[in-house]
Amino acid sequence: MYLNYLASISRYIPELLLVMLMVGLILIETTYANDDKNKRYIFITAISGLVVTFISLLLNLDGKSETIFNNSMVIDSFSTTMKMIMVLGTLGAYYLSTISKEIYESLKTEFIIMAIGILIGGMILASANNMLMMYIGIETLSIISYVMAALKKNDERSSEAGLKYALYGGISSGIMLFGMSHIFGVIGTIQFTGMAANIAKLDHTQILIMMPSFVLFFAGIGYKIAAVPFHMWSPDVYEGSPTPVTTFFAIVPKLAGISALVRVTMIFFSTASPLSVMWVGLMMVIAALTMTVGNVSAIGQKSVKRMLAYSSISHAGIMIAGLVVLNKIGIQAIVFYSMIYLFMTLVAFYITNIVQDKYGNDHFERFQGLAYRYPYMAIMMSIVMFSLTGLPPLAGFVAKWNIINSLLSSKFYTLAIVLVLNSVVSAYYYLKIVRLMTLKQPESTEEIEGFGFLNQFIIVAMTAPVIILGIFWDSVMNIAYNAKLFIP
Amino acid sequence: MAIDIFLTIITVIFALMLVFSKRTVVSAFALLMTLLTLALIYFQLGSIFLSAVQVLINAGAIAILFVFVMMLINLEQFQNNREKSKIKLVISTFTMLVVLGVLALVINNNIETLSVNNLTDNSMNALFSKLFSTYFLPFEMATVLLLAAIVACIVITTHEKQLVEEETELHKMEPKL
Repeated sequence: MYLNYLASISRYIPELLLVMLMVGLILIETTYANDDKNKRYIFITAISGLVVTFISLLLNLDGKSETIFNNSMVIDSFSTTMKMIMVLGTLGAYYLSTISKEIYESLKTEFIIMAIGILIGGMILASANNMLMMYIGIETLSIISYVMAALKKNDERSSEAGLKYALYGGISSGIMLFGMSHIFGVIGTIQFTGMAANIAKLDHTQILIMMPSFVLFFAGIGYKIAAVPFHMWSPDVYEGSPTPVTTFFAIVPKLAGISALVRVTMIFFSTASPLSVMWVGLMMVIAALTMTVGNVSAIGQKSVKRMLAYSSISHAGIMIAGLVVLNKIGIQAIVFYSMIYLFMTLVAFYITNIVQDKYGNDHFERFQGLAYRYPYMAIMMSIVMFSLTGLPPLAGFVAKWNIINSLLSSKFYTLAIVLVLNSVVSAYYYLKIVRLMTLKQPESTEEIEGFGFLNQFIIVAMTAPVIILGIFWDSVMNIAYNAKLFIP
Repeated sequence: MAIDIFLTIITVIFALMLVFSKRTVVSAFALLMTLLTLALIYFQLGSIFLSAVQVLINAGAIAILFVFVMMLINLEQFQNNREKSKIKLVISTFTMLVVLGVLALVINNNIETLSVNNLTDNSMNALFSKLFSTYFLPFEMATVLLLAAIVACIVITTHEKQLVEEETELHKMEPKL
């Protein structure tokens, strides 16, 4: 009787593939758990499953934009592009987890099973088209993240990270649900399309109720992307979690939250209304605060992982800054920024994790003299650090320049100035690593096992886009230009 | 009508027992009985689905969860620590006044109360036809969430020997610098 959802399934293949991959991995894990020889099947299945998902997303990219499953999801080129970035991030974090000593040998399969669960949540969030889907996406993303943060079970800091994440996450999703129920109470529907149509008809009292409701609603998403009033959990969780998990957290949940925020903003606030003025003001303040607090706090850190956590907060701020212009240019800048952010984050965390596996901690001093022992790795780390700062001719510069361009074209001069000043501040702590690697003598001459030929090759391959896209960015920019939001 | 009043009285008695009982086990039992008698009231009003859900979720899961928690943390040791303080008195009086005030408002303004008609529509049919058409995807995705959460639960609760051994190996590694 109700079989019309069968028609929607053809556009929903990537997510279904991931669900099947997750179930399949659980089955393989139970079959081969005690058999070390056959553990490679898990690796092969996970990698090939993710690659197939990536390909099916690629095939979806050119398809018609439409809403599926009775308006609960929207498949458009924007969501598909963001999903592709998330799949690549998962792939990178998974390979790191297989070579890292931070993840217990017996929990490596569980890492990828839970990572795929979070990835499914992120995909739901990226194309959610009603409040219910968005909430399920956020919960799928959050609940499994709590456990992933505590994956290093016998380590105090990891358990602390998991507990902190769970407490902050529970409270913020409660606040978000409260805001959603207010919005539903005033507007009377949970479909984004219907809500956007009804917002125009509200009278002044109702708009007055809606303003705090949307602020509460933002709490849930803001917590996921660690925007500033809700960022307190992020450094502790990023530092306490095992490094592959941190890599994963810095990419997938963050980009999923950003894409949900972009969709909400563009659907509800792209037409002029008092609410839209309020939302743009809120986003401007949050973007400026997120950038500044992230950068200033990163200066005094001893641990590289904690520094990268603060830097990822500030990058979220830059991506929010692309949102305030409320037009296509801003969204394209955000999509391009996400692509570059993926590669920069992956390389930085790979090198940090390999150094940390050798010495047991990840303080800045552990990087001393890396240029004399592993020159290629030191060059790659330096390139990524320069790119994170935003120096030409690297990709980080192009990404930041796109955001600033979109801000200037809509005359948001203050925010552009804040962004540029923040880049100057960030240069201090990014280049500190470069200085330690090149100008100091090495502490020891012991070999770092992690920097084998294969791993060095993978790191170089992941840095290549950062260099190439800094010069020849037309082709990828075209993908970003085609990433249009579909607003039914 | 008579059976309604009878059920209401029983519910109130169990609710009072829940609050005033000195033993926590009796309180938990009273909570269970309160929820069951509430389910009976729903049944009496003709809302079969609501009463089934009440039994399954509230009585079956939540009340039993309370009993489990009590077994785990051995609440009996706290049972004599009931202090009488002024703050408690003030707060309870205030709460009582608020409840009475709301009740007075309801009675004074003839706010529409639940009538039998509101509940007897074929709610189960309507609910599930919605669940399998409009809300099909959220329903299915919630199952994926539960599956992943089960894996997460197992990961966080297993206590293997292997893990401890690995950890000691890691500790041996650390003092290299």
